[in-house]
Amino acid sequence: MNQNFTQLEKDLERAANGVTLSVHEKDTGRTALRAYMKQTGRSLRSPYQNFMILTVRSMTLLLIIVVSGGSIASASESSLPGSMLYSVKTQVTEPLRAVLLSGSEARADFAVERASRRLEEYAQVSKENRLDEVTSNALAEALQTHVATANKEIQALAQEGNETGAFDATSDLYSILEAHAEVLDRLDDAHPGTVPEDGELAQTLADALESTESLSTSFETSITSSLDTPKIEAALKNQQEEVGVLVRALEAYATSTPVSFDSADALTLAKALTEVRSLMEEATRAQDENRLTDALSLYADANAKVNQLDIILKADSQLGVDIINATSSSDTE
Amino acid sequence: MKRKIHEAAFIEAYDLYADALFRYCYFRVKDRDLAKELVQETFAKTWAYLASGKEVENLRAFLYRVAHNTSVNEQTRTKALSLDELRDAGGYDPVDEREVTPEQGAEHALLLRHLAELDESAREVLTLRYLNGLPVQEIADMLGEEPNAVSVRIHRSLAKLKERMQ
Repeated sequence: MNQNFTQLEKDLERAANGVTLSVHEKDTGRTALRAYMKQTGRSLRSPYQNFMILTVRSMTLLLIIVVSGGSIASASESSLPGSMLYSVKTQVTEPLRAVLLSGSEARADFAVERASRRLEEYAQVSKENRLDEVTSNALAEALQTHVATANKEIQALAQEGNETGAFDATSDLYSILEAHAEVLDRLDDAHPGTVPEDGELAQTLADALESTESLSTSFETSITSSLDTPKIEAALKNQQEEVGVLVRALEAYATSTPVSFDSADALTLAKALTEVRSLMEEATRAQDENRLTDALSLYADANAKVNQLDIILKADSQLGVDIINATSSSDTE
Repeated sequence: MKRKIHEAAFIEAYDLYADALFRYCYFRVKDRDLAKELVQETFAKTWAYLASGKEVENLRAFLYRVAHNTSVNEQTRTKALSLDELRDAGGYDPVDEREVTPEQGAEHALLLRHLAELDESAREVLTLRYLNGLPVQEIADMLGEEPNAVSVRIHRSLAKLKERMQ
């Protein structure tokens, strides 16, 4: 009886290929989802804790947000310095989210995210030729604060005995800062003079990179020299999981042929992903041969590369400047 | 960096399942724009659920359940979809024209129009099974039915569709 429907079944399966979202619709949907996800944090604790940490000014803004039914907070997420909603984002929604987070790891994560946001804003404002000294200094100061908070929470994490988490968080912070530094360099190449090399932010970024690299190295050394196999294996597992997820996410992104992509971008991304995969294979071999320390370093390298790639792709799409090729090629040379 | 990993995995899920969920919603509500909104709402609700600290064992099945519950309140259009409507609204748009001849494209569009005109129960199982390629067991889990009962429903729905096509 089933045989009667074989052709019909095949036709239905083939017809399915015609009912899809367009590339543009998928891009728009993905961007909207990312924006929504940014507002909605994980690991939230009771909203009644730590409210007193907010300043009076923030509480006034908070009241306005409550009255607006949250729409102001939502709209402020994509705001940039100079916009009226920007202070809502930086003085209310972000601090509110920060105080509601539970645990050093979540707080370190969010501080890293805020540092990354300030750097994204800096690039965007620079690209739009709206970067004045006041904005530049304010963003540099905010970056310094967020990096300091991240480092403080990372140290707390290590003191709580979660050295693996501390190592993860530091290497992530380092790769994010490094990727943003590359993005800013490329932006300045494309639009000379937009990102002053001797500016306050450039100096803050260089200092943050230096201190974070040193912290990351010290955690890695501490884990590997401890000869504590379960600890090294736990760090390995974390790095392995993170690289795997990010690689798959980037592969899925590449196959969705984003609007901002040209064939050169696709090729560069494919090459970069191949490099990451070969690092992962090398790490797996080292792990199989019980060279756990080597495996950890290799996974950490792969993780740093894939994190950078993620930020570069985002900048390429948001800024409308060919960031992918310049950064990736200089990275691979 | 658990949050970042969760976010990356969820965006990966969006890239993997958005089209399939769109097809599912589209044949439930028969309105392209509404189906797009339902897909976004499905992902937003699922993320909010995960962000509250809850775990999901099978993300794909969970997404379908959310899509089902989200679209259940939407008024299904009663009017039949015409061929032109399927094409003009982009409801039917072959991905690669080189692989589909104009005749095949027309046949597929006609098939989808007949599918859209079936009753909700038939439409649902045929969309899940053939348009989205879900195994019978997963459809059964999603609908809370026995796999045998789902197989029977699929078989009967195919018969109804074939009858319409003749």
